[in-house]
Amino acid sequence: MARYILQRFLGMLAVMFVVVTIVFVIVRVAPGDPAAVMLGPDATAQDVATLRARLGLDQPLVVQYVYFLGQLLQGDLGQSIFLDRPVTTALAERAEPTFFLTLFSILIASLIALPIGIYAAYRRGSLFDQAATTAAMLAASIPSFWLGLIFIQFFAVRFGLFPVSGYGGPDAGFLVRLQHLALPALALGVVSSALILRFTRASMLDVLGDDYVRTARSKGMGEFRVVMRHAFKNALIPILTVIGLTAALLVSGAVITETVFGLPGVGNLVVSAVLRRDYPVIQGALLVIAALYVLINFAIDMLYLVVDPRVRY
Amino acid sequence: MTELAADVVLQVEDLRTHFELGRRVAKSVDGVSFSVRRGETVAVVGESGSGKSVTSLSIMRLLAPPGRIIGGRILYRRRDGSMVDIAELPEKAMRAVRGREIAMIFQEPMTSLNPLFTVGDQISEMILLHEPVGRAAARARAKRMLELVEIPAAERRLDDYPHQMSGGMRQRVMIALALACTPSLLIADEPTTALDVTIQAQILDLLRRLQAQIGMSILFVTHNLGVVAEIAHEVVVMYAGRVVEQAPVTRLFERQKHPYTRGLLACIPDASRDRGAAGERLRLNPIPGNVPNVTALPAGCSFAARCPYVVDVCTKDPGPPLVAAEVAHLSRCWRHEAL
Repeated sequence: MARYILQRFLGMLAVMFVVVTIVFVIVRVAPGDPAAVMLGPDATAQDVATLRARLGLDQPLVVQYVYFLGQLLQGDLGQSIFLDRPVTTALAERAEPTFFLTLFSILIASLIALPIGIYAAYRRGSLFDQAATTAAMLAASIPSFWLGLIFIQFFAVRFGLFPVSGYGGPDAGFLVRLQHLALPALALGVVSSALILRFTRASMLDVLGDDYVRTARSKGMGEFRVVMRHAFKNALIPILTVIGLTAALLVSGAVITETVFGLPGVGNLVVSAVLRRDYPVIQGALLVIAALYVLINFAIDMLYLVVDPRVRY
Repeated sequence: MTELAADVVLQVEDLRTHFELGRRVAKSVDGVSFSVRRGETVAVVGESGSGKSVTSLSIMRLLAPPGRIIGGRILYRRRDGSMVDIAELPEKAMRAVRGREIAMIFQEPMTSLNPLFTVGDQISEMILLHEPVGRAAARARAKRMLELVEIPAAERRLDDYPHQMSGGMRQRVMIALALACTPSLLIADEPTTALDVTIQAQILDLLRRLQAQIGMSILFVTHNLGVVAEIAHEVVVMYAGRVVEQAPVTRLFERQKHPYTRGLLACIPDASRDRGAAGERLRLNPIPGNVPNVTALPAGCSFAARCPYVVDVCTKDPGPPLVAAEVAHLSRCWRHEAL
């Protein structure tokens, strides 16, 4: 087991190293001189050269890379050009809305998808199954920002049940925050539930026909116990995987939803950074999102260990 | 409800289990009758598709849709002496019988145990489902069950997962599981088919000893007549959803009253017999053709197309009835006297 954990951990480090390198290279080879872009069209050649020297852009790429890695290892992602603070601070300030949005979205998605997916598989071919499968296809093809706009129109504008936009000001309590998160989380949750539902159904169909499910029935237990204890637990590995990947996608995919709902999250930060060519922020956000992705995958690998005794190496 | 003879545990009467596949109907079991006495082993023999497994799943009421019992009775004497018709029993009442009074072991020991639970948990679960005992007591019993099926180091093995065990070990665990609540009837569906010959013999031997110890009845489903000779008292031969011959085991091996049974016996390779005059190996003796499709059975006897003794009457409706060819020896063949 220790070997399995070590292997996954080293794998995670390797992936992170590759990601860091790619992010570094992409930002350097992107067309245009960052210094020139930052200073705008009116800057003199002298100004640009000074800034280049200050940013270390006049050094050879290898030197820049080593320096970049060194900074990174100290947890330094550089200084934002427009926000007048370190990138890490900027990201940390925006992390909370994104974190809760992702968490609630994935909870809502799972709460919708798991029971429906399990029951659809159990009643394969029934009207319920067909309706669920069709609804899932529909949900998967809806863009979350569109659903978000519809939700705003109905629940916020027409019925006034939820705030239209924002995160309730800097001093708002948790309950107010929750109100602001409800609609975007619901929009993302509904859309993400589609994939989880289909995976749950497929995975359950796979195991419901297995011999040990028949054995469980032959012991004389009720159907609920057969399905939940014996079948669902065996179906869990692919389901956990897709839930984890969906969560990771949400972190990066919340960009548009955050914009629609005016949530001051990481997504929103990235959008404005891109519009202003705030390279250090873009670079830092990319790294953090990639790190989250890798961490979630690592967490899933560890969950396998809990679920399946055969996963040991 | 009619009375059962005092020592009969299970009496299947004219059981019909059909599968509705769109407009066609597969008559997988079509009018099967036999009974099992206390402490007796009845073997149900036939090729795949003969309906033997569907018969056992019907008795357990574990048929997967669209399979359905559409007629007949499955009379069963419960442990308290009362009699029930399993075919009509409400699902909830059936659950108290299933596992506790009638237990089943399956063909595939490699896949019949849940890979995510320890064998101790899986045996304990059975006990906890049916008896008002605590976890510790259930675990202690699970350990005794493992000892009963002769698994060494039972205490340690309780915490093993199925993948840490061999096929033969797993089938022993399945037997321990099935016997955990001391059932009156054990249904064994090809329990040794997936095992090596040496392991096969061990498992049969174990079943025989446990039967003597516990006094349960066994319904043993198999296609292997060699196994039947080892373990059965009474043999029911099935073909295309019907019983074609039934007799006590010694009598059946001495004298077959149906060409199908005769063909099955001839299929068993015999190294000393299957030699020519110069000692060269002769070919195996398979029964030509296949079991007919139970959605479209031919007129008359369903074995006629493969039968070496076939005459005109065999292919005409109605087919032959199941009659007593001799005392306690039933045959469904027009020509049983000539055999």
